[in-house]
Amino acid sequence: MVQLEWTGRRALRALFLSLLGFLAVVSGLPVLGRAWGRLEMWVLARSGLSAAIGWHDIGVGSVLQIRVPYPLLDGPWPSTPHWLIVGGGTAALLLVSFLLPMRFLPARYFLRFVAAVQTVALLYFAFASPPFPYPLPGYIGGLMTIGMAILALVPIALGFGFYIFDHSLPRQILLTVMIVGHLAILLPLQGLVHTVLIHRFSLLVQPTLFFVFGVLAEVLVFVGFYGWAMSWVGSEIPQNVGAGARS
Amino acid sequence: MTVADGLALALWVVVAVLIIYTIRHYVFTLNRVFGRFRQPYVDIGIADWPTVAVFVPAHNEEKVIGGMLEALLAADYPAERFHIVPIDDRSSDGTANIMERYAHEHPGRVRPYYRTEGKPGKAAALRDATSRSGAEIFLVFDADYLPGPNLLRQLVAPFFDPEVGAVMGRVIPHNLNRSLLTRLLDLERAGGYQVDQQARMNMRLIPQYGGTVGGVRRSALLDVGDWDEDSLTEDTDMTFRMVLRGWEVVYQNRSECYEEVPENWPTRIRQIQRWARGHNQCLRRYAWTLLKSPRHLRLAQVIDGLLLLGVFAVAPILLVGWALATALYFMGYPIEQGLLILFAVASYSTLGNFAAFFEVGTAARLDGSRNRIRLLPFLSFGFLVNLLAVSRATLSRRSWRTPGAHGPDWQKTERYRGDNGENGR
Repeated sequence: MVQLEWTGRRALRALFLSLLGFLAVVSGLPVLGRAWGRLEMWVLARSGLSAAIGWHDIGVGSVLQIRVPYPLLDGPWPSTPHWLIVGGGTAALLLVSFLLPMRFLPARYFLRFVAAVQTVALLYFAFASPPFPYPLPGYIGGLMTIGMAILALVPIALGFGFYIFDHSLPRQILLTVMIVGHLAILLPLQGLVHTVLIHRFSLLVQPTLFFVFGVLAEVLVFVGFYGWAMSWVGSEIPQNVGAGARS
Repeated sequence: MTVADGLALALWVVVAVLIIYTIRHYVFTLNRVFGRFRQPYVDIGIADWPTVAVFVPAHNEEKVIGGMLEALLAADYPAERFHIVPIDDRSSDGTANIMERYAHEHPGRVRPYYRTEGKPGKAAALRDATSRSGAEIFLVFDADYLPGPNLLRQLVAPFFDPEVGAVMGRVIPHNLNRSLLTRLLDLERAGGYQVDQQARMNMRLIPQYGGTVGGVRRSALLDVGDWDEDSLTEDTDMTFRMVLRGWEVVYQNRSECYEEVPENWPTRIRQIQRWARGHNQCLRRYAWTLLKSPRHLRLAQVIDGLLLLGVFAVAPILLVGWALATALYFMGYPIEQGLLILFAVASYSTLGNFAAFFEVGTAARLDGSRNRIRLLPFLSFGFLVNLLAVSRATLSRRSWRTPGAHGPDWQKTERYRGDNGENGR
C-alpha cells in the first residue's frame, strides 16, 4: 500500500519550512508594500488617471510597520451610461450562457453565477442612495491587505499540504517562491484592474469584483501551482504506475 | 440584536459547518498518507471459501451486460462455489436474450432471474433475487463494470471475519480519456476512494458500501431486514442499517473494478442529483437514530456517520451562506471584521477550498497519476456544477418524500461502451 512514514524529521522539516517561509514573507512585506506603491504610481501615470497613492498602515507589534498602498481614485455612483453599459453587459453574459453548447456547461453556470451576483448589485443600486458603504480607496486598501495576509499564509498552507510529501527540499522551496512571487505580482495588478473598472463603470461592478474576482483568483493560482507541484516526482511515492499498483 | 447581527450569526453557523467539513478533509487525507493501514484478509489464498452468488441487476443493458458476464466467468474463484445471477428487470432491449444465451452456454454458472412484476428499481430487483438464493455471500455489480479475475476473492476475503456484514471495493473509471469531465470524475473518485474510504477504514469509522463492487453477508442482510425497495440509494441505506445493527462495513482499496463514468454534463447532473436525493432520504431516516448513539458505536463513528449523511446538504447550506454574505455586504457589514472574507475563503470548499484540492491531489499522487494532478484547478468547474445540481436536488420535493407505491424507478446512467466499438456483444 502506497503511503508515507510519519517521522520526526518529516514533521520538523514541514514545521521549520512553514515558520521560516512565514517569517520570510512577513519580514518582506514592508519592502513589498513600497514596491506595490511604486508599481501603482507607474501604472496610474501611464494610464492617464491622475491619482495619488494612499497608504494603509499596519503595525505588527512594534517590530514591523507595513504600509499598504492603494490608489486615491473615487468610484462614482452609477449614472445612466453606467446603467446601460453594466446592465447590457449583464444581459449579454446571460445570453451567452444560454448560447454556449452543453459541453461548456460549467462555463454556462459560471456566467450565470456572475450575472446573478451582478443582477443583485443592479437591484441594490436601483433602490439605494449614496453613500455606498465601501468607498473605492478603502475597498482596494482592504483587498491589498487581505492579499498580504494570503501571501503570509502560503507557507503555512503548504506546510500541511506539500512539505509533508516526499519532494526534495529545493523543490519545496521552489514551489513556495513561485506561488509567493506570482501572487506578489498578481495582487497589485488585480487591485489596479479593480480600481480602473470601478472608476470607469461605477460602483455597480464592485460587488461582483469582490465576490467573484477577489480572493477566488488567488485561491485558483495557489491550486494551479499546487497541482503542478504535486505532479513532480518525489523520492518515495512511485509515479505513473499502472492500474492495480495504485493501492 | 439587529437584523445584520442576526444574519451575521447565521453566517457564522454556515462558516462553522464549512470549517467542520474542511477539518474532515484534512484529517482523512493526513490519515491516509500517514495512518496505520487496515486491509483485513486481502491476501488470503488457501481457504474454505464460502458460497457466493454474484448479482448483476440490469435494465436495458444490452450494450454492456455481455462484457460483464464474460469478466465474471473468468473470475478466479472456486467454480463450484459461485454462480452468477444476472437480473433482468423488464428490459425492452436485448438484455434478456444475452443473459439467456450465457445461461445456455454456461449451465449452472449463469442463472438469470427475470422480473416481470413487482416494484421496479435496483433495490426491489435485488430483494427478489437474493431472497431466492442460498449462498452465504452476495456480491453485487452494476452491469457496466469490468471486474478483474482476482476481484471476487478479494471482496469475499473480509467475510472470514464474522463481524463483517458488508464489503466495498474501489471503483475506477476506465473511460477517463473521453473528455475533461471524465478526467475530473476520475480525480473526484480517486479522492473519494483512495483517501475518504480508506481513511474511514483505517480509523474504524463508517466506510460506505457503494452498491456495486461489493457485497453483503446473507445473514447480515436478513438481520437488517433485507434491501429496502423504497430506498433511492439502497447502498447508503444498507450501510447505515448494517452499522446501526452492529455489523462492520469494510473497504478494500486494492479490490479495483472499472466503471464507465458519465461522459457529458447532463448525464453527470442526473447521476449526482439521484445520489443527492437518496443520500438525503437516508439523512432523514437515520440521522436521529445515529444521534441517539447506539451503545456499540463510538462517538467518532457517530460524528463520521452524521457528516457522511449530511454531505449532500452542504451544497444548499453553502448557497444560503452566499445569500447571507451578499445581504450583509450590501447592508454595509464591515469587511475588516473578517466574517465575509472567512466565508469567501471557506466557501470555496465547493468552488475550491484548498482542503478539497489537498485531498484529491493527494489521492492522485498516491495513485501515481502524475499528469492528471495538473488538472486540479479545473475541479472548480466540476464543483460549481455539483453545487447547483445538488442544491436543486436537495431542495426538490422528491428529495424529502417517500417514493410512491411503485417505489423508485430505475435511475440509469447513460452507457457508452457499445458506441465506440468496445466490449459490445
